[in-house]
Amino acid sequence: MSVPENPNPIETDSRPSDSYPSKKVIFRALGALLQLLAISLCVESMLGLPDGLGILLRFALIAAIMFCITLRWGWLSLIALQVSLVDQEPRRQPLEQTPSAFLYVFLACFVIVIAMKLPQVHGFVTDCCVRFIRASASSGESIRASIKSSSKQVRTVLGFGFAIRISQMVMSVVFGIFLLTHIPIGQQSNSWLQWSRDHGQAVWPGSLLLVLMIAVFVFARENAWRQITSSQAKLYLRSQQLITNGQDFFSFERRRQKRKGSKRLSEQTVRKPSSGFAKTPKSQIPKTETDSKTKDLQ
Amino acid sequence: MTTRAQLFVMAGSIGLFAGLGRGQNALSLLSLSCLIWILSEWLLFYWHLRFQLPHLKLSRILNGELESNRSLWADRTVVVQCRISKGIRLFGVTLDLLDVVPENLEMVSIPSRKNADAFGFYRTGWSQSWIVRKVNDFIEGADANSCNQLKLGLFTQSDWGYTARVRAAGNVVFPGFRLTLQSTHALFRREMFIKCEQVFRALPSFVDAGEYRSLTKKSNVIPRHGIHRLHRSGMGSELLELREYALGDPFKSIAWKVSAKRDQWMTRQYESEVPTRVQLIVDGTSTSRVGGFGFRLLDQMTYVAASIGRMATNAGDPVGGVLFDERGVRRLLPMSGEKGFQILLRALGDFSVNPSPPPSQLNQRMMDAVWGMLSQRYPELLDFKVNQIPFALLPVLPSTRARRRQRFLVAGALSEIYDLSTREQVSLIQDDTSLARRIQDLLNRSGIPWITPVVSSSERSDRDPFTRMNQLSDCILSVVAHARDNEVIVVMSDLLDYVGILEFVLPAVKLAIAKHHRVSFICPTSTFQRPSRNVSADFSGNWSTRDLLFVAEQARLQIQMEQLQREVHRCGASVSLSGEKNAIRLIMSEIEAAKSGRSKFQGVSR
Repeated sequence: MSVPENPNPIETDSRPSDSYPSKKVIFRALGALLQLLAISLCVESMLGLPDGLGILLRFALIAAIMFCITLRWGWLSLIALQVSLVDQEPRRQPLEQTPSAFLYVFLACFVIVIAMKLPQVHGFVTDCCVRFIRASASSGESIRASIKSSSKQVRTVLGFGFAIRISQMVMSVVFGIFLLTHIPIGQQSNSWLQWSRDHGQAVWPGSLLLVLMIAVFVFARENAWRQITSSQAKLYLRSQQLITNGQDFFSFERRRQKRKGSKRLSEQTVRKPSSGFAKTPKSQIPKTETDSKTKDLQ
Repeated sequence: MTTRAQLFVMAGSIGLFAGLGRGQNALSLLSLSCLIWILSEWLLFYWHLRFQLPHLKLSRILNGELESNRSLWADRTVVVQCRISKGIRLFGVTLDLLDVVPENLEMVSIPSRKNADAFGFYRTGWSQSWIVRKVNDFIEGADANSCNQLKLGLFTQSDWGYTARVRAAGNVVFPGFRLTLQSTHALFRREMFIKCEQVFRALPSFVDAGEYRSLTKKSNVIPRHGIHRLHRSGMGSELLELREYALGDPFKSIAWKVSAKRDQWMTRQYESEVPTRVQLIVDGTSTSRVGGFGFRLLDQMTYVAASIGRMATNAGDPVGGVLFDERGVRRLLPMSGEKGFQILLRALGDFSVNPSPPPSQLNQRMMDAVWGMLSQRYPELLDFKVNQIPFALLPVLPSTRARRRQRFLVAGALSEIYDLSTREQVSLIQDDTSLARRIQDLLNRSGIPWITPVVSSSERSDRDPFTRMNQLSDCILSVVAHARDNEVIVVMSDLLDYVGILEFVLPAVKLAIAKHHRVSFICPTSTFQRPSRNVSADFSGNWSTRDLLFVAEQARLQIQMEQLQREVHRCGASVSLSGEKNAIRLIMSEIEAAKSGRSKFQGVSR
């Protein structure tokens, strides 16, 4: 019997039918596009491409950057900047002689962070624009209210949130400069640097940084393990047992299933319906020729 | 740590050591700064996860009440309010709170959606019907501190809510909240499920049309409430007939004037005045439970049963019942009054809860369904870090490897949920039947109706209709055995497809009628409409495929209905369909006719 089903809940998208107004969609798209374009131009200019590069190639590069950012691949901008630096930055320069490098790094970090955050930022900015335009279409009171609320939000968001973000980023850069210039910390820093330059050693602060990174990694990993719940711990033990003794368990299970299957088969054979005739008693079965011959031989 | 973060850290580390190795300061500094930045993000996320989130307390209020021992009604709306009873402060992270809505509820409105959309932070990464998405940025209102996603969230005590409609009778289980804590750049994410289980019994809906009475005046003396006149000799107040005096008749019943006129002793025969008990027999076997909530045949039957119960209670008649399915038979003693009606409703509500589904074969849809369920309610058990799978070279194909991996993970999670031994876990991995059984059980326990992932389409037909017919026959006989005189037996069962094997039931029906009971069959219809011959007239111009299928189904039902009517009328019972909700009135009319003892009902008023 056929029964009408409600749609499968697991596959159903239950978004309500109310949709964005068309104006809002347009402004949202325009705002997002402009922001994407700005960030992509920044990244492209920071890559330091040669002047002789064709304009079509530049456009293609900008489009590729925009595409990556849209797909939340902001980390690709870091790789792009790293590759450009590997290619273009002069080697073996003293740290004190590269103040412009600090500014470059600061800008690059800013661009990377914005690129990673862009899919979330553009929604806010364009929504503010949309609200303002909507209100202006209705009445003066609404405009004032809209400006007030929007400006308040912009003040709140851009003024405080961005300030915190930027300060976090600045702190990261400053801390990075500190680590690079003062590792190993102490009086032997300069002598270490001098020694490494004289002997052509390149990774002079690298050993300590590597140790620091490993320490952070170990700490994070340990901490993550200590946060698992009891059910997760039990599950981990199960999975480890399965990994260790899995082959034995699988072979036992296969054998058991095989036995079960053969048992079922034999039961089916026993239950096989007869031909309809009654079973002939053994005494009434006529002896075959082979039997009689055997008897004769005996 | 998300994949983005892992890639970011990898790129930063490689860049750092490449810069150090090549002596390129800007490259080293850029990479190191990015690493420090991501470390600060992690510390911020970790602080929220370790020290803020444990303080979060959530509660849910339904229709303004916190207790879960209340009852809900099918087809009625329910207002759900979720409350953050103890808030936390969020800074630089976002927290998605998702109230997992049971499948027996249909979302009507999401008030928070408007606010959430106003700023474009409403993301649709998780789209499932039972989930209400609420971004915490807007908990304090869109115009106030609405930019939590930009590290401004001041997260205090607040409410959000939605309105939903109960689809069908049974139970409504709210399992809890799903939380997703995520850093601003989606570098770190933690998903968890907070149990906040509330179980409500959903009572069946009914039509309350008052008390049905005949338009025609039947008697001068109206019997008291709950008492009906029976056209059979008894000790009532209305005259039934006059007959010749027989030895033993009481003297007070002698009609003196008539006797004088006829010159022979005549005796007045009075009508009988008895209460009419209604006995409802509801068939809840597996075929009636297939389908989504509100679309099951059982939902139609409980609706009709509750409506009949309501009207009978209004008329003062006691209502009893027999509820049967594969699990067994549950007998309800006839009870009158509001209390009896409430007991009936509760019994019907409990009966509507689906038992374990019939075994079905494992398929990919089932696996996908259980994967979705586990991701939603047990995300911590699908963590690759703890639910590890043994390495194997085979299978080589990526799709097959992915299926193997999914199966291992599901088996591990199921074995943890059901607390299975390792041998049973291995059995789940290797044996399709046992895995399918566990998956079905989990989905059923989670409130998923008997639709395609839970019950495959090949399993929907009745496996053993003869057993079902025998069970129905036994129920009728049981009712007859416990019945007094003049009872109305209403059999609610899907008989349209089983006209050919109706002879299993008809002897019991004949016995009931022979014992002076009235038997009425009510069959649910798959189209939810009463079949009619001129259904094609409803569709004026454009005929879609769906319309054609509907008309074909209606035609099939009409033929089956006619066959069923022929068979049932032969033994003196009546039959009707419960598909269309307006048909309740017709059914009540038939029951009223059965009560009055007349062969044909003459009209009703409400």
